[in-house]
Amino acid sequence: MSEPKFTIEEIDPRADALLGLDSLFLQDNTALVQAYHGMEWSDISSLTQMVDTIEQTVVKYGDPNDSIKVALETILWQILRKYPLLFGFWKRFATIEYQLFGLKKSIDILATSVKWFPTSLELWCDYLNVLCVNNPNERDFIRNNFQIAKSLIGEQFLSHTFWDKFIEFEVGQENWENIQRIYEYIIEIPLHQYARFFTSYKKFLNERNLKSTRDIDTVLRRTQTIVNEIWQFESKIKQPFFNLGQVLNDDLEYWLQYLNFATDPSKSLDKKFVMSVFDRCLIPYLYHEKVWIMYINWLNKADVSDEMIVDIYKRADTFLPLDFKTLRYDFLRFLKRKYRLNNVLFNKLFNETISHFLKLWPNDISLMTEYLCMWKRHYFKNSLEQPSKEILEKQTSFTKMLEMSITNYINNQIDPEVHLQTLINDKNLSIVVVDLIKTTWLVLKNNMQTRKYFNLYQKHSIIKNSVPFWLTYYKFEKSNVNFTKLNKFIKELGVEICLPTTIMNDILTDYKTFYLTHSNIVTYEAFTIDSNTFDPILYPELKISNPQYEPTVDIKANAEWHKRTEWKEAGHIGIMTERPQISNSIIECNSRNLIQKPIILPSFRNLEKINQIKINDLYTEEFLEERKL
Amino acid sequence: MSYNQFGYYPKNRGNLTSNDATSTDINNSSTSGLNVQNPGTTGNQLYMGDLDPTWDKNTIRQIWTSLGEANVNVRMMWNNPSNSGSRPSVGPKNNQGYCFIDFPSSTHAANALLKNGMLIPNFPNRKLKLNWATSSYSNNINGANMKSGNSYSIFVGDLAPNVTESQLFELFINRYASASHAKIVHDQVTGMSKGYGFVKFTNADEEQLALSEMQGVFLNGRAIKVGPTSGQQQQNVHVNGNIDQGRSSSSLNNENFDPRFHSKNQSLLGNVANNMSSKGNNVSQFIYPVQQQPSLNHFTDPNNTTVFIGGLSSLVTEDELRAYFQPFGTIVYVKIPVGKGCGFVQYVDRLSAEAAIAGMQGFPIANSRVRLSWGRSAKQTALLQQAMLSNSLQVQQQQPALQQPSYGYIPSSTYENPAPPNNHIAASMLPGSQTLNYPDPYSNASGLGLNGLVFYGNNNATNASAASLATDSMGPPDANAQQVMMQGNEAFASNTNAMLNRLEQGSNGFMFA
Repeated sequence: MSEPKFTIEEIDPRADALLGLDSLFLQDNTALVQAYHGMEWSDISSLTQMVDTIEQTVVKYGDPNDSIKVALETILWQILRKYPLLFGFWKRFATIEYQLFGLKKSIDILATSVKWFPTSLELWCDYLNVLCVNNPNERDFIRNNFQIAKSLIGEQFLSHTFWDKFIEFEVGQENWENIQRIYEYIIEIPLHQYARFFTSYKKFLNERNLKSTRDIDTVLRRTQTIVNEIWQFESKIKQPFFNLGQVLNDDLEYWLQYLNFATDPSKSLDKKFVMSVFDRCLIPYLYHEKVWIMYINWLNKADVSDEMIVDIYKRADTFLPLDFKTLRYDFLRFLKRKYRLNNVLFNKLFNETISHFLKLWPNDISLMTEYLCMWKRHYFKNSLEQPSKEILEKQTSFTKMLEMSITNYINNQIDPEVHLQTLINDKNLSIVVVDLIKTTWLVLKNNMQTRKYFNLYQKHSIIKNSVPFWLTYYKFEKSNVNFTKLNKFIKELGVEICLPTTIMNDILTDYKTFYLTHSNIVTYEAFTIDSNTFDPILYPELKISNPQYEPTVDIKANAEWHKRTEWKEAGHIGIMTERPQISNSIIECNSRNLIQKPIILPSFRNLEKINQIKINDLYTEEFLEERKL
Repeated sequence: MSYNQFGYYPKNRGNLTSNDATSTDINNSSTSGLNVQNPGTTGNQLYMGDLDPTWDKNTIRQIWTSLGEANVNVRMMWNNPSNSGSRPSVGPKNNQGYCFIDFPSSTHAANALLKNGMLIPNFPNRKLKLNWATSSYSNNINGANMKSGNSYSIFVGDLAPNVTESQLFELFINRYASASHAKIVHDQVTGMSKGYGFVKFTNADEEQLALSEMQGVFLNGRAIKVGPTSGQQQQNVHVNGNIDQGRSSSSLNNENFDPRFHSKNQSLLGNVANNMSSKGNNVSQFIYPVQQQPSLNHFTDPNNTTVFIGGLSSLVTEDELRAYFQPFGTIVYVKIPVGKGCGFVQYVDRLSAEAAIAGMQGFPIANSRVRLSWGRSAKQTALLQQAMLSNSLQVQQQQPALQQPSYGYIPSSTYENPAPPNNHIAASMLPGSQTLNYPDPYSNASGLGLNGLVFYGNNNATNASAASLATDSMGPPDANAQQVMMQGNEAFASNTNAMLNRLEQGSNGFMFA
């Protein structure tokens, strides 16, 4: 297939298609401007209205200037790029393009449409029709396109229009051989109008005095059975086309039944046919991960080429909304599974996919874990037969590479040639660091170096709050049973080292157990005598769910007790009041003095502040009013 | 705690027994009889305040004799007109804390006035408090301004329930010499103060001054309100006064901004009621200052469980935020609106939200210290934003009406735990109910922690420590609880497993970074 020379794809989908247009034009076409700026991307009627407006503009101006033409084209392209399955819009696009630029570009649009929406019967029919009518001489080009269409949509239940056109084309060419080949192909497909093709095939054979290689009636009976069986599903489907908004749940149910039927191994249906059912189902249910997963599961069982499966994975990845992770992670598992079959290819695919996923989910750090595994597996491969020295060298070079990547990232000197360095971001840097530390500690068994790494990287602000890093550190010191370091670590939790409360609680609980099981009374007493402020048994208990806990040793805090938040809030969190205090204490009320005279009335301090409530309403200030600080 | 428990406190010089004279019409009232416009004694009459309630005419005379003014005529002000005459009263007879003294001449009076502030001989800690009695003062000094026979009243509202007429009068006479009469309106049935009253002046200028100066002055711990009264206006004032009274008494009953003072105020109130019904003269003059009931917004709504997290780094994901806030209680949702630099966490119950705000205020998440405050639920926020978009009215007015509890501000349930009625498994298994333990920072071990365990088999002590809870569930009283304990063990085991998994997988990066 020769690529269409002009493609609308070259148009840059600018953010604002109307930018730079003549202001007079914009003033005269407020409807267009309004429709464009008020376009609701998730509302099909809004999009339809947009296209309506464009059509009206085209009718109004007939032959507008180039910048207007490009603007209108761009709007349509923006819509179709986002929703390439809206075949009606492609058709209207082709018509508009015909009015604006003439036939050539209109055909190009149709060529582009079948590229973006290859499983559309309507678009293929339109395209082929236009080709046959307008370029009758380019026989090979047209035939080639017929062949492509055949493989893409030829198995669809309602594809008789396509087949009619194909036969008509070959009849025009008087290529009888091809016609027989087509008929032989058709009669096995369960088509809606299978009977008609049988009749015309028989007629064709009679007219040309040709003989079929097979017994046609047997084929007919088999096809008939299948058609009858699938008719119960086909007849129920109400909306076979793509639309925005709510999909029909009943339809999905029928489709799933249909797919279960089609993929039932006992039916042994033709693979191409099953694939066409999947393809058709994925037109209205393009955004349903479930259907895609079904498709891939079936492909895995159906013994098709890996390239085809990869292709479906990639298609699914293009269309599925970004928060569907199951299928995408499944793709990674698939690539890892297939790695042994073709190291180079699948490593390349794996790397590409990881890069792509990291762009989608920069916060997903498990991708880095996966990547490092694959990286090590591919470039630092070891086997049992190798001498130990070689293995050690490989592992050392692995750590060197990791360390270099980390240093480069921290120093902002990423080497674009090293794939790993392009993948590191603030979120997953700690994973690389942890991997470096783990290899040094557990593989190279170099405790000194491990500690150096810990000391080096914990100073870095990105690493400082990393859960994997500190959990590794905690494990490391635990394995060394280094209570001095561990106590310091526990003490710094929530003060210097700010981890999620859940994790801190876990560590604190675990440490208490660890201390009780691994320490002894002598160590314990040595600690508690040395410093009164830290008790490794009590302290963790007090810090649980109280991340900012600090033992109060401050005497000054005691004297100013009435200034503490706890007192001011008085149990009403977030609402501070300056409560009046009695300034003349009655502490002496039992003294001898007071037997003779009544004690004086209480006098107050802060009385005027009693109704001054202080609240820090960040919610209203920062969120509702969005007052940026 | 409260002062009124000490018996030797100054007895009330109040008006609580003056039920018979609680007419709302100030002009016809003869309660206090503060009519100082005695035409016979012009310029030689002094007001004397700060009296001990037990003093009588003779005591005052003795004081003045010892001060060198033997020839004085004392007019005591008794707190009940029925007692003030010659009829002997039952029980202790108390004056209203002030009296008027006629001196032989204005020179005598003026000399005596110089002794203002002196310690009273034989009565340690008591000072002379003197001033011109209104009529004489006005006649002599401000006579020109005086409209003879005319008096000017102002309305005084928002009075604390225990303010007596003499206190009210003293407040004004200390500043305005022409204050001549104070009257507090009491409920005819209960005898309680209605929380408002009137003060009469003989001088119009001083009346106007008082109107502008006395607004918000504190009397017995409450800011008073003053307003003009006359004719139709006075009628309105009465209505307002009633409203004020309703509010003030309700605030005393159940507003109690600070729950710790709940019991105290309650007991004070109890005393007031008791005293009123029995002796009527044993009310403490002191009451702890009462706060205004705060208007109901997201800060004061006791049902609000949404925490707003400001100053949030854009790097933080919802999952991570959840990990920070999970240990405080069961979370309904965690939401980080795109590009706002803030987040929301909604808890199932109030206590969890309070614990979260208290525990996490200012804690650094991803190198940026978060600032916490009360937020609103996503639904309410959407309504609010809609309202703010559609017009520019003030936020406060546009806030969707919260469900206004008819009983006013609810003290935090920390102090009044709704205890499940029985050791019933179904009840204790209700979602959210087990999280009652959360605010106690020591009761749950590992985030999701032990809370499942500690609640089962324990039905009241939500503030008890984990240890005591554990002991409770160790010795269950009936067979039901036995079963419960076993469930608790399972929960404990699974929680411990989850904790170990987090520790293990976390270091491999299978969680948030």
